[in-house]
Amino acid sequence: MKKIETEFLIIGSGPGGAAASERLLNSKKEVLMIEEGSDFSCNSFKLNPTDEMLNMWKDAALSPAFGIPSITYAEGKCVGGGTEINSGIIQRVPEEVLNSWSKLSKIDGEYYLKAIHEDYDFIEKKLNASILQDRRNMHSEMLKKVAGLNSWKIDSLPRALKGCTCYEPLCNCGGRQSMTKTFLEDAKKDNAFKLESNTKAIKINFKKNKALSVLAEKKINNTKEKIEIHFKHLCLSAGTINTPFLMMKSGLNFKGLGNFQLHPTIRVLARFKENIEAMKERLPDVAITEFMPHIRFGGSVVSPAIFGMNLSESWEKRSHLANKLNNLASYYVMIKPLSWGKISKFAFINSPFVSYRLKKEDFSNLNKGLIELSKGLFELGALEVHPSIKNHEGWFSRKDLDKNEPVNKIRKKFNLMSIHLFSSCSPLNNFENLLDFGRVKKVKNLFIADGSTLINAPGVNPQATIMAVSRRNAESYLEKVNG
Amino acid sequence: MIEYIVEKLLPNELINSNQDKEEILFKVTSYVKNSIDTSGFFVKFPEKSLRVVTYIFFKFFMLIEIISLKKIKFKDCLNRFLKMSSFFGDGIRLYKSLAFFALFEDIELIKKNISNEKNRN
Repeated sequence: MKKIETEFLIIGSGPGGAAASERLLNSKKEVLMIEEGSDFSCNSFKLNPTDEMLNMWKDAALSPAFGIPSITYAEGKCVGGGTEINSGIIQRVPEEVLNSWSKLSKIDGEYYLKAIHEDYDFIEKKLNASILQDRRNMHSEMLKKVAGLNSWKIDSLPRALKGCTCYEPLCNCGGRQSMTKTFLEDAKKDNAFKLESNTKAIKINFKKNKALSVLAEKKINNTKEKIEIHFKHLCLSAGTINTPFLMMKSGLNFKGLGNFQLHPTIRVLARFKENIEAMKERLPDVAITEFMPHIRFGGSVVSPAIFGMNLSESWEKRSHLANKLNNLASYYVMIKPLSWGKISKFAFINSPFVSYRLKKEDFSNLNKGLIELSKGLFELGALEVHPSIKNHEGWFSRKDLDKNEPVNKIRKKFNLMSIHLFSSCSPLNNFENLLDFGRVKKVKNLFIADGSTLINAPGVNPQATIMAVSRRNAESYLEKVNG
Repeated sequence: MIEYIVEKLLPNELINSNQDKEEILFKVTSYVKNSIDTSGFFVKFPEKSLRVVTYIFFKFFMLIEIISLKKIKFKDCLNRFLKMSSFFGDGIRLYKSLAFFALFEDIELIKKNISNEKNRN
């Protein structure tokens, strides 16, 4: 078996791991980063949607959080993690939520009141987070008009883009400032940094209260090579699901570990008379925040393949939309839930079992969001609105909304998804076993730097907050190490 | 088996009017298969038995359709099948959404098929 030694080992190259690596390299530390997925940053070509799903998303984006109904969640699996495939929205958590985090977290609450904004400033500058208003965007305009007609509050959505010329919803021309374009690009220039892609951490080996080594498996073509990596310090950045799962697999388990939250999201398809051409425009640069902190509306990413998926939900009722794709716009209703899910490890099974049961209040908020957004869309002139509810007939006028079945009858039919997962190692649930800033009480040389250490659901896109908190965790760990 | 299931689930108007039907079915089926193979244990494992059960049921429904001289339609049987349990309902929805995702990737093809179908009618 091949053996490697390093000073700092980071497991995972997503926003958490990349932001932590910047801090460690800045302090002249030697860093080895391992990533389960492949490195696509050198590709001069763009993968088509089906290849992207298979190669850059974990489990082909088919991961279910079991419940009634189940929620499909998706995570990135490539160098740069989710930042390589998401829309690059960079948002700060609202002050109201930061204040509540400060009160809820008994161990590092002070950070959320002031210092987090210094980290946000740094990240926004590094990723060139900005609002782009360089050409008229109908998809975005529609959402602004909905808000205007109802006097609803809106929030701007800065995006990590630089010199984007393609105007596609997710940016295909290389303008998106993902981790491989920013932190990891800089890291690769540093001789103290090494990245091993296609390398999956299997197990952490512990001795007394110290992590000694990690057993990993590297895929080379069709073969797998076992590697033992020894380190002085370990940073876990494998993501909200995999960080606690790796800890459980390695025998490090405690009460509350693996309880997590996500943002349940439901999509709405609306047809207008106007040509919107949402597939050829950037993602809407605003979100409707009138019903925050619990409910939020915004524009969804659209592509022909995603439209296809939407139509498949009820082809009999939606087939007439297939040749009207240019007139369709897609929106989402996202909630900040009260419920918590659970990540479990079953004996002899090498995949996490994820379950999530929404509370009554969460379903009410989802339903309220659907109705309010649909009302707004009809006021704007939508000809029909189709929520992601199994076998739904669709709404063809505002009057149809009043005939909607009560939420307790249709909640099982909600087709929910989420790309925002967090808090599986939140001090809120694991107070007795977690120290401050992502450190674990039982293991001296380990800290966590990813979304799993967020206190609870932020109610907004978590990417910037994951990076801010991970940066803070690495900084704090270094302070402890350096005495 | 997957190819047969996918073919039965895809709407006729999207694939039948196209000359490259076999090529399209191959592309869509490959994507459905690869996605399931890449997915985690808790999707991959139950899907194995779902695939076999669905295949047997679909063959049975086809037989019923033939014996009843199309008085009982495959589509009606399928709708009853979906309501039998959430295992079948969720499973069929998974096949369908993956197949549509791959099919709609080539949007020009969809547009062509729909306009061919309209002309035919």
